[in-house]
Amino acid sequence: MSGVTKARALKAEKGFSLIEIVIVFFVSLLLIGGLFATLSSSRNTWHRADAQIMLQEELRRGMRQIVRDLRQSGTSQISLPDNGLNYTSVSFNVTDGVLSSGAVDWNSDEVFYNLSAGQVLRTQGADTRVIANKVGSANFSRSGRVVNVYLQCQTQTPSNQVYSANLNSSVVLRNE
Amino acid sequence: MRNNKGSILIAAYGVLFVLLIIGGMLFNRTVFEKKFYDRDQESQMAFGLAEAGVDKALSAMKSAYLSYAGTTSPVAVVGTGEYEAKVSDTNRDGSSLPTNFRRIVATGYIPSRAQPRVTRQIEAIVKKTLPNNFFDYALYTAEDLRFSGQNLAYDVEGKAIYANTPSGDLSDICYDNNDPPTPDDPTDDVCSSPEGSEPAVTHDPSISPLLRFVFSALRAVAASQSNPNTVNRNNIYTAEDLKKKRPFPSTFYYNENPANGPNVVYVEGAMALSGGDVVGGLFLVVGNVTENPEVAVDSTVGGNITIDGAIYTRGEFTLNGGGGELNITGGVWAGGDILVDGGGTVEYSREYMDAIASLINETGAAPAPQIVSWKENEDIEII
Repeated sequence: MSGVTKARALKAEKGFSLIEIVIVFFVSLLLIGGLFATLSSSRNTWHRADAQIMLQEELRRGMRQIVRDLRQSGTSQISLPDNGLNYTSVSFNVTDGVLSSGAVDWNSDEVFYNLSAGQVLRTQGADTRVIANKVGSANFSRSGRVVNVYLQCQTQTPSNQVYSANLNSSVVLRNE
Repeated sequence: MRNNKGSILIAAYGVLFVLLIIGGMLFNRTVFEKKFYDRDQESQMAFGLAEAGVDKALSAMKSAYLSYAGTTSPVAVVGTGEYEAKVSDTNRDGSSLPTNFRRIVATGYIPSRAQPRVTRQIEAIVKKTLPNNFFDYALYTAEDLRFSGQNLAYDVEGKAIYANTPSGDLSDICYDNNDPPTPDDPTDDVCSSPEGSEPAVTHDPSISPLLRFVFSALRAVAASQSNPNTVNRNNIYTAEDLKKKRPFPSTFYYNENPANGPNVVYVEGAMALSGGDVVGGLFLVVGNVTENPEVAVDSTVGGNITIDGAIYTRGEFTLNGGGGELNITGGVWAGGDILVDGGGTVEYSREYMDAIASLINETGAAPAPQIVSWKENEDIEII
């Protein structure tokens, strides 16, 4: 291509006007903003759902162990007074069967549940285990043979939102 | 321009990709949570089935206590799974249980024993035996014996027995052992102190839990007895009757005739007596047994009261003194604590206890099979 032809071709090329560029800029801005809003919303949804599921799992796991243990205790073997009031810990003995005399053979290692630094701990003898994390409060109360257990968990998402969940269970002591 | 349009498409793909990843993770988490939940639900169902197995065995053992060996094959429960119950007279280690004790091992399977996905197992040790000397005590508690208040403000004339721990001053518990008086012991009473030659208070853990009567048999007796203090009513007292303070029978013997045996007063709720009552009979404070056998109810007595008979309560028995006279002639059985607080008298009556023992024997009201020890096996045993 000769130099003259090249110059004509360049002259024929039209550039973007200022208005076009501004419009494209704003449209792009809107699109990007919308995309970020969608992503942020999705991220929050994920965090919320993840937090709720995690809290439910913690609650269920902790409650399952507590209920299982409590059922094996009896009214004469539990520290909770029969007054319906809430206590933050509970200790009790569980049965191991009967002795040759016919008396109930209560396991000498007491089971103890308490809340410590956001964790529900289960202690029996020298063994201490964490049975639930992120626990905000744990309450135990007794009315007759029925023990009520209340657990409340909470967690904070990376975006500093706080989510909580709670679980309540009534357990009948199977032994007397 | 073409290149620019292409870049938007790529950006859109990128966003979609990120959204898909987030959605996928959320879906995955949700599926995991669903599985966790389903597992939990099935575990609860298996536990319920295992409890059904215990109930089934207990029911069968009412009529065939020593011979019932359990279910012959897994019992299917429509829509849930299967359970089975095995009954033996040995411990898990093969050692023998005490006489008249049986061990139920009940297992719940989801969905079936042949292909179990979830299994839960309960081990219950059951007894059906009338404790020695069940009718020999003024105070009989399957838990704690607690005395409080002023020393000697109360008076117990008869023996006492407890399963767990005593507390307070038990020195005023005495009884007459029917030996002739001697110069050294002109009254010949045996007292828990000082220097009693025989114990007036006995510790025996094997009396816990409290003997369970066949309540339906005693309720039938109460239903058959008309109450002279309430027109056209029998001796069954509902919670509403107690609220309205419907009068109790005032004598121990039904129609005041020893040949009729005792009044059987069946109290379906917590019993509270106060102020100037004179009541008589065998009081069974067992709560709404037919509706909710887990209810524990207490028997509380306070004020000026004379109880001409005996009280059996599955819950606690509290004798609150105050300034009034409190006399119980007969005895008290309590599944929970017995608390004697303040002034009062509990006097054992052999005559009344013999009458109650005869009634229990004639009606077949005791002993009923009752669970002594209940536990869940975590290391599942298939037998």
